[in-house]
Amino acid sequence: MPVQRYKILIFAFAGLLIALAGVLNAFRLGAGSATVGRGMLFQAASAVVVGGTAITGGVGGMLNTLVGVLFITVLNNAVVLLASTLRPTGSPGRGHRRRRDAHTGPVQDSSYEVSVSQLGRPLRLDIAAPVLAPIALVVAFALLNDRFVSTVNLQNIGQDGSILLVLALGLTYVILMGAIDLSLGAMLGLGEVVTATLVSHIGYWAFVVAVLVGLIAGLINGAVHVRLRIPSFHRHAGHERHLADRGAGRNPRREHQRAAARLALPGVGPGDALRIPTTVFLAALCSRWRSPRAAHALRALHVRHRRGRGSRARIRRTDRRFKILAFGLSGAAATGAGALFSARLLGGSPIAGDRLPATGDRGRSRGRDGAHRRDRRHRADGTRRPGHDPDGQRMSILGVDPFVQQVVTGAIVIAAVVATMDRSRLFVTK
Amino acid sequence: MATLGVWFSLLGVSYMLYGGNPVPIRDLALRQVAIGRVAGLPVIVLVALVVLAICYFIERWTKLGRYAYAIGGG
Repeated sequence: MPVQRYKILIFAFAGLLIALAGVLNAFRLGAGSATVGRGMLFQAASAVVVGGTAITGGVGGMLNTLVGVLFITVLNNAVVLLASTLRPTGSPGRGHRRRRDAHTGPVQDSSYEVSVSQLGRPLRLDIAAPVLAPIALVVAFALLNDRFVSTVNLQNIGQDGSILLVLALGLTYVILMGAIDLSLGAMLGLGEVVTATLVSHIGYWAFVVAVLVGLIAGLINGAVHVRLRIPSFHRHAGHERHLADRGAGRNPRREHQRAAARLALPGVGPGDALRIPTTVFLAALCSRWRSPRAAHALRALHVRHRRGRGSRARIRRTDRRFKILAFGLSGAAATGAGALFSARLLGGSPIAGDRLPATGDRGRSRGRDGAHRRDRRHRADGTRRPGHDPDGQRMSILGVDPFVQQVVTGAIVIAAVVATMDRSRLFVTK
Repeated sequence: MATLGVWFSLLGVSYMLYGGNPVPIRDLALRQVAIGRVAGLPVIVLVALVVLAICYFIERWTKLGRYAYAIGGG
C-alpha cells in the first residue's frame, strides 16, 4: 500500500477543507484576519474526538464528527444563554429561571433514560453518549431558556456549527490516520486573509485561490511529515483549553500591566550580568538539570521494553510515574517561561502563549514606551465602542466571570472525552 | 512536530503579507455566499452539508477513505 502518497493526499485534502472553512468564515464575518484561527484547533479537535473518532486513529468517521460539532456548538451557545437565564434580578432571565425550576425533574430524568436499548441489551455509554448527548443538551437548554430554540439562535448555531463542521471534517481525515494537524489555525487564518484581500480584485476567484492555497499548505504539511519523517504531534486539546481558560479567568481584562517591582522575580527579566541577560543563565540552568534514573525510565517507556535501549533502568508498572513527572516538569518549565516572559515585557497576559510565535504582533501591540495600545473595543478617540460594557465583561450577564464559563466548557469537554473514548485501546506507554 | 512547524510558517506568512490587521470585505453581494438564505436556510449551512456529503462519500467509497482507516488502524 502506498502509505506515504496517501498520507500526503490526506493532509492536502484536509488543508483544502480548512481553507474552505476560512473562506466561509471571512464571508460571514465580512473580514479576514490571520489570528482568527487561534483556539479553533482545540474546538475542532474536541469536536472530532467527542464525536467518537479515536485519537489513535482507525475508528470513527464523518458522521461522528457531525455529532461532535453539534455537541460543541450547542454547548458553546448554551453556556452564554444560560448566563442570561441565571441573571439575578430585574432581567428577562428571571422568568426563565422559574421555568427552569419547574422543569428540573424532567431534565435530569431525560439525561438518564439511555441505559437500555430497544433490543433489550444495555447500551454502551461510549457508543450512545456521543449521539445522545447533543439531543439531551438541546432538550435541557430548551427547557432552561426558551430563547435557545428561537429562530435567530438556531440560525446562529447553524452558522457557527457550519464553519466548525467544515474545519473538523478536514481534521477528521488526519486524525483517522492517527496523526494531528496543528497548523489548522494558521491555515484557517491564511485562507481568510487571502479571500478578503483578493475578493475585491478578482471576485469569486478569490474563493478558488484561497482553497488552492490551503491545498498547497496541506501538501507541504504532508510532505514534511512523510518525506522528512517528522511525526505530527498530539496534544491534549481539552486540557490545553482548560488551562488557557483558567489563565484567562484570573485576568478578565486579558491585558494587565504589571510593574517590574511587583513581579515575583524582581530584576530577573530585564536584568543582566556581564551584559548577558539573566534569562539566559536561567535557561542554561534548566537545561543542565537532569535525573539519570528518570531519563533512563522515560527512554525505556518510549521504546516499550522492559529495559530501555542503552538504559540500566528496569521498568515496572509503577515507573509510569516518571511519565507523569515528565508532564509535570514540562508544565513547570512552561509556567517558568511565562514568568520570565512577563518579567521581560513588564506585563502579563493569559494569551501571551498565542502571541509568542508572532513577534511582529508583539511589536505592534505595544507602543514605544511599553504601554499597550488601544484594542478594538475602543474608538480612535479613546471612547469605548458600543456593545462593550465598561468592565470589559460583555458576556458576563449575571456577574459571573465570562472566563469561568469557558473553564466550565473546557471541563465538560474533558469529561466528554473521558466518557466516549475507548481508553482500553490506548497504550499508556506509547 | 511537522504540522507545528507549518503552523509557525503559515502564521508568519500571513503576518508578513497582511500585517496582522483584519482585512474587510466590503462587497455585500459577495458576502451572500455566507449570509444569504435559500428556503429559509443560511447558505453557509447548505455549503457545510454538501461538504459533509462529499467527505462521507470519500470516506466510504473511495480508496483514499479506506486507506485513511487502514493507516490509522495499523
